[in-house]
Amino acid sequence: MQTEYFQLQNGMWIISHHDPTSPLIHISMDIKVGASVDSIPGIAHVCEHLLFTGTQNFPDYDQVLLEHGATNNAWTAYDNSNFHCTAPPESLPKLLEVEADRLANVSEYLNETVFQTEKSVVFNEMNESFHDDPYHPLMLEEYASLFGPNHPYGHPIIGLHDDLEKIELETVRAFLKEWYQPANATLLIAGGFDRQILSDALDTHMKPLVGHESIEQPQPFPPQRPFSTHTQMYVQASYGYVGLDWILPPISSSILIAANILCDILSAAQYGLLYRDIELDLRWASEVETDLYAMKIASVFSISAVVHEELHREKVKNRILYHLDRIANGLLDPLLLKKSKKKFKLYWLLQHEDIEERVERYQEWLRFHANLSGLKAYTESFQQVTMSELQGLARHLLSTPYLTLDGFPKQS
Amino acid sequence: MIETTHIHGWKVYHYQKKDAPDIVSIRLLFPNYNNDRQIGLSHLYNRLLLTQIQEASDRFIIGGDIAIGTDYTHRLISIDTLQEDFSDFFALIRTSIATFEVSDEELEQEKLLIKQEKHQERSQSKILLDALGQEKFFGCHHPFRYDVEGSVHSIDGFSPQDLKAPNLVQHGIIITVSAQGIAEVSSQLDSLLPKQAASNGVVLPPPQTEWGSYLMPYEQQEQAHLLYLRRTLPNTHPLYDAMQLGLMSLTSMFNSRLNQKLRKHEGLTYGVQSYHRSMSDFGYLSISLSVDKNRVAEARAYTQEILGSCTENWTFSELDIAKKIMLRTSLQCQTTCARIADHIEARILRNQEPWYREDWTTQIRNIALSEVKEAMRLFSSSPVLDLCTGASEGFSSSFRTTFPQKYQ
Repeated sequence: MQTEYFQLQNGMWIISHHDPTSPLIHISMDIKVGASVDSIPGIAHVCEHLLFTGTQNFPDYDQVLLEHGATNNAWTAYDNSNFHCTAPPESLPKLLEVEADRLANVSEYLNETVFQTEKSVVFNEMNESFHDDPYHPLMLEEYASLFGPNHPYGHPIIGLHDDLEKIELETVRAFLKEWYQPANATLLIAGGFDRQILSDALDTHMKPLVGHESIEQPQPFPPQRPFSTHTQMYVQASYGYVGLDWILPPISSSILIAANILCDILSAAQYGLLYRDIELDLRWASEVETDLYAMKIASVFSISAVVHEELHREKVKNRILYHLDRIANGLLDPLLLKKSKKKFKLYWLLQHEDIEERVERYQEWLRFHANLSGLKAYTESFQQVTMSELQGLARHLLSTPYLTLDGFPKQS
Repeated sequence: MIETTHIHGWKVYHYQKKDAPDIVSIRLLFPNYNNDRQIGLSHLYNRLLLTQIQEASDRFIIGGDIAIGTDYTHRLISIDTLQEDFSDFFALIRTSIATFEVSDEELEQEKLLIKQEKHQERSQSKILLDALGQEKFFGCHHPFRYDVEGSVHSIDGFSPQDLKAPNLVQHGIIITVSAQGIAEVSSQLDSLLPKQAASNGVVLPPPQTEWGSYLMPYEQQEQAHLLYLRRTLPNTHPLYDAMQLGLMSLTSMFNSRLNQKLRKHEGLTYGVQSYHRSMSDFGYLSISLSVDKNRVAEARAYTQEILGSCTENWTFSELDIAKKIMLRTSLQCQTTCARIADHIEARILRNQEPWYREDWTTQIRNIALSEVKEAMRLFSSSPVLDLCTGASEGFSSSFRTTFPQKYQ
């Protein structure tokens, strides 16, 4: 296995990860544009959709990929948008040709009919989410409550219904031209490809791309406290929802390693403190989850649960704080830390085994670091987390204001 | 891939992935399906077993993920673990199964939790419509008519006595995927597997579908849901693979006929979803989509037109794409221990031809367009079960208004 990364003259970063044991190749194009730079909330996500609508050279993007045995998908986050596909190795030149073509030409080829059709698909996507989760409207308000409406993270990635209505063809065209530039792109190619074929394909398709320089947005300081400390909503549901959200430092902070371990210790399916306590023993809640969403400006540490009886709502919140308090006071069983470390040892092995996950980790790392040299040390640092670091993190959480999300079923 | 019967009576599938890191993926399958009165019993047992495994694991430091699942015909335990913990983890599960015991209070608490979750599902109209489709497709006495969790009524009826039956370790199948060879794995299993009767399969009754069109009343929301169910060829049919290719082109790829029209050309939906399951005696396909409540008639017309003409206009290009995607997917299934194990498990559950059989790739490559056309002709001879919720206008009098019994 050999990994190389270098920058083309047009500013595009290339990561090539050659693994001859892989029967497939994985191509991932990461663009440094996400919801945090939305000129209208939701526009970065709409643009992600529009990248699939074709150009004069390749009017049906999906069709070209399918003809080469490739399947593809994409997602938009706050800090970036990602387009990826998996294919047989022989399709590499064609896939790079198509990627280069859409980066250069999609904004010009767009027309009103295509734009309105895709906008309608996005409306459907938004509406479907409401049906999959009755508390989706509360989730749409979560980041506005946490960061405030004027913060780059202060709106949902998909935007709100009224925002989507405002997005027009010329606005997306301008947005695409501004952000979908080679200098904002990192292209990753991994798997069992022929290195000479890759080199030729890069020369033919990626090097000739021209564009303006990469745009560096001014980075606001991470907020120290949530914009609001309580948000509630009544929705048509048969159960309640409780969530506690804390703002933590950005992805580059080393505190997030301990935060990952803390998430696991609180909610892991076999030994998680909250899972075992409020879900299995007390039966006050179900679907106890913790999450750490690490981002460029700030990260979000969240704990949530579903409550079936309203009389348990406050007790669940108190129990979450009770367990954090015990950890803050040095009462965490050291066995749990050992278990969690073992789990992360397995986790990194599993991630490394899967070429897609392995290289996505590389790409994510390079999004925030200048080179890959620190990645191995990062994965190993999970084994170095100490009881006192967890204690310090729990103290920090207890002494920091947090956002409480209360979702109430309408009938209560 | 080695398929063998262990001296203790277990059917063993071992796949040696020589370049695997120090991990091992294990899948345990216990053939079993619940009779009419016992729908949901396997699921209940599995949940209680998982709790007991979790409690028993307190004293171990094991690097492993365990998941317990229930399929209609099997109970499933999935483990991905560090090689160094394989024996400990396996012994833990074996002991938990052997010593499984549940008090009346624990049983009642778990039943209550499952019922609460059932209640929770009432907030999701898509889940309710799927449940209605299942009931109508399989008919009133088929074990597939409810999801594997059963109904509130069936869950209420379970006693500690009922839980003794699935407690017996019998007819077990084990799948292992690791860098080790079969001899090494087999010697480890000698001390880990209990003795049991030889594995056997599960025979299901045929479905008794109540064909027709159904409207499920539900509070008006932005989106309406449409669901179509159809019979498919059993996986023992000579044209089964040809039909699979046809169904991929019809429903399941980004550029499938349905997605092409409904999403790409008309923007009517975020995407058409499909699920196909075929067993040795019958198969079924479900197609679902969510659309704006004001555009239901349009979406229904396009869907019916495409389903109605699914025997026509097949091209070499369509067939070629479907073959490429099927073959690429099979390659992707071979990239990690967990994916290989999951794939072998899926093949066992559906009693299908495995990709690891040497002539499988050739078999797929050789399928002719005429075979796809004939397979789709046979597929299209099935009537259609047509269901909708979230909209109230534009339906003919042939639509019957009904709600899933499971949630009544």
